[in-house]
Amino acid sequence: MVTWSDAKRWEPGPLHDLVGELNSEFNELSDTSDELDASAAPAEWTGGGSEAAANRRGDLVDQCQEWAGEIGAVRRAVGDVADAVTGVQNAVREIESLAAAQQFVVTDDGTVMEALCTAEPVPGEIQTERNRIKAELVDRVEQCLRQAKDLDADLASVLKAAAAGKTVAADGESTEPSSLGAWGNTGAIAGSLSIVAPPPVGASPAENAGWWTALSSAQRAKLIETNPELVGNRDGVVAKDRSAANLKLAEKASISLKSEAQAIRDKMANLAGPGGELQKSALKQDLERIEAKLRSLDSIDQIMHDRNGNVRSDVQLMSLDMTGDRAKAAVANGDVDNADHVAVFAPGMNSTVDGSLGGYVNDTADLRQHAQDELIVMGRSDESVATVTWLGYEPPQTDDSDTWLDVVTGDAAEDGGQKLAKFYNGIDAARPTDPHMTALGHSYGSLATGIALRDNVTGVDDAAFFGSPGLGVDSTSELRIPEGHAFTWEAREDPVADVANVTERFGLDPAGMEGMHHMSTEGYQTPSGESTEASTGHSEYMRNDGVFQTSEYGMSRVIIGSPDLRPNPAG
Amino acid sequence: MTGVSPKQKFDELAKRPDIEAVLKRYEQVRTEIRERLATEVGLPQKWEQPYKESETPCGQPYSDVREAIAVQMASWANDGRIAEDKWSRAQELFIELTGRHGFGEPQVVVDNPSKHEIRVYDAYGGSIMLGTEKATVLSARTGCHLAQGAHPRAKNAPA
Repeated sequence: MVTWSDAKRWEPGPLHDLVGELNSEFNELSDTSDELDASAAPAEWTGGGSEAAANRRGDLVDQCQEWAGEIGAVRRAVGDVADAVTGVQNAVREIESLAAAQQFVVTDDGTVMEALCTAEPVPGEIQTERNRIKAELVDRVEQCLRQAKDLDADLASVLKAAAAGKTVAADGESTEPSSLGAWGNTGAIAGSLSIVAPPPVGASPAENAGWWTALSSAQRAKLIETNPELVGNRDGVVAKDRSAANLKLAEKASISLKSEAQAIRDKMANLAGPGGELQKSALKQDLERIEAKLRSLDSIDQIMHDRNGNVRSDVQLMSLDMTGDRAKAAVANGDVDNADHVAVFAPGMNSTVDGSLGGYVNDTADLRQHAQDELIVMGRSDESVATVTWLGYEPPQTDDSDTWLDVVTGDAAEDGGQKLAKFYNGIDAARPTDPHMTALGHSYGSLATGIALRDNVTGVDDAAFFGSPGLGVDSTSELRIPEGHAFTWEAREDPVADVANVTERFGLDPAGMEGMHHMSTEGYQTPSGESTEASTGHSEYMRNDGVFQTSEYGMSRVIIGSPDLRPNPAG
Repeated sequence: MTGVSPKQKFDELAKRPDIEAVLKRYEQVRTEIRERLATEVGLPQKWEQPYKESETPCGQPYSDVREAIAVQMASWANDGRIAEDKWSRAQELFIELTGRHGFGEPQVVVDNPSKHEIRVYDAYGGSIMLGTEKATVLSARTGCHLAQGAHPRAKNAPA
């Protein structure tokens, strides 16, 4: 049984040394085998003595082959474990560092204990946060030990088989010692390690992060290559690896959907008569759904590649989900794993991957640049920004914007809100240090954002809502974010932003909530005569449409943690 | 542009210069501005680019034109700030130089004694911004343009 204190002591160095020794052993065996090869009996030697010598030589050949197989297996297993131990070391380091920073300790048996020394009672909200961190540490320790135990069991199994002479069986079929290299390779296959299975569906981002961190880089690369579906949408895995897996997944999905579409077309072509027409109509709907998903993949392909056809290094495909009626995806501008400031934008009604994602990625790329420009003028250009467009849910679709409130329920926002909260937590869990995180929600996406922050403890530091029909709450105090860190924009002629005033179906009007900063969407005349641009209507707040609006300026300041709260920033 | 086909939008974009030509023009304007800010406003000569260029597919109405892109150019950063009594001169030369290259009327987002930001646009929605607070920034983002290889002029060019 591997304990936490065992895992803490693990070092790859001695294992790498052992691989060197096994290499020497193998070379020595190979030399001996060559000698054996040269020791074949002279053709003129016949009789009982010659036969006995030939049998003995055959036994020695078998032994050499088995030995080669055993060395090959142990060498492979020890080498793989040495690499994998570096993953365990990383995980141990991260856990110990997080525990120390948050005043917890992990005991030798892996128990997470409080180490906060204070005579004062801990306020409720701080205790809630400490409980969350403790739960995260428990999950991470569990995943790290799972990997350590898996490695231990795998290596023990290979060593036991070698000790019992059961790695490979040389049964005298071949008497040619020259095939020793092949026997070594056969052994290497037997010595390859299993990869510890990922945490189950529904696992917390901390569990996923703990699992991923404890894998070796070779194991991670193998999983991305062979099982991208286990990696790409797993909240808690680093964004860079999620992106690599999702690009693989997109390729696979495209092939499979094209084949499905062709099968439907073939089927439709063979249908005739009134019954056939009925079937055709149903098949046509399926085909349209598949074609929309293919258009979504095409749009993602366009987003992820630059004008020369290369994969863009400054975007990350953080999720790709082709299940359900429509494709779902999240795309980041910038490096989410390392940025100082991360903003996650949830769009609203009628948003789709095929129809709107590219435009949103453009809008959020622009917002990122505005934020970076603000960092420059503030003398903080050593800080970095990433902006994510999260379309990980299926917002309602309706053609009639005047009556949408009559037909739209909050169900998609409830479901989306829980997924969004996991996405926020996944960003934090995948990093050794949390970024300053801002949740941005537009329209129905602001409802999903509000619900995410109402029902979950997340690492969100600031929340920005615009064109909101409601947040699913009646007070900012219901949002689990620091007090005074909620912002809202409500433009003139935006009917959706007035919905909450009329129906309160999704909670009170955000603009009227106590503790909510009501940010400017107005245009201004400056003392020197120029004017700033107002935002009007429901869809202009953040749009990169060639006009830099007061609302975009306001958001860019919020996402770097320096909101400009003046009612007239131009003055 | 509701009801306009991607082909029609492509043809519309083909009337614009391609993205490489636009980037070249923008950089030329920014170079002139940086030089003049050093000589006439006294900003330090040293400019840096702390962030990289980034390109994206276009937003509406050109989001369905696959060959079209927009570029957020790497912003130029200067550790110096433009002194309050020099801001109006900085603004004048910014408007003069950008106007000479076809940019339009200025728009101001922030204008107070501690912080100024002024922005001009070209006919395609691209913009150049000059801002100063503790430090100074000269940023640029293009509008929507066809990639050079996709532009009919490039395709029709003699080999």
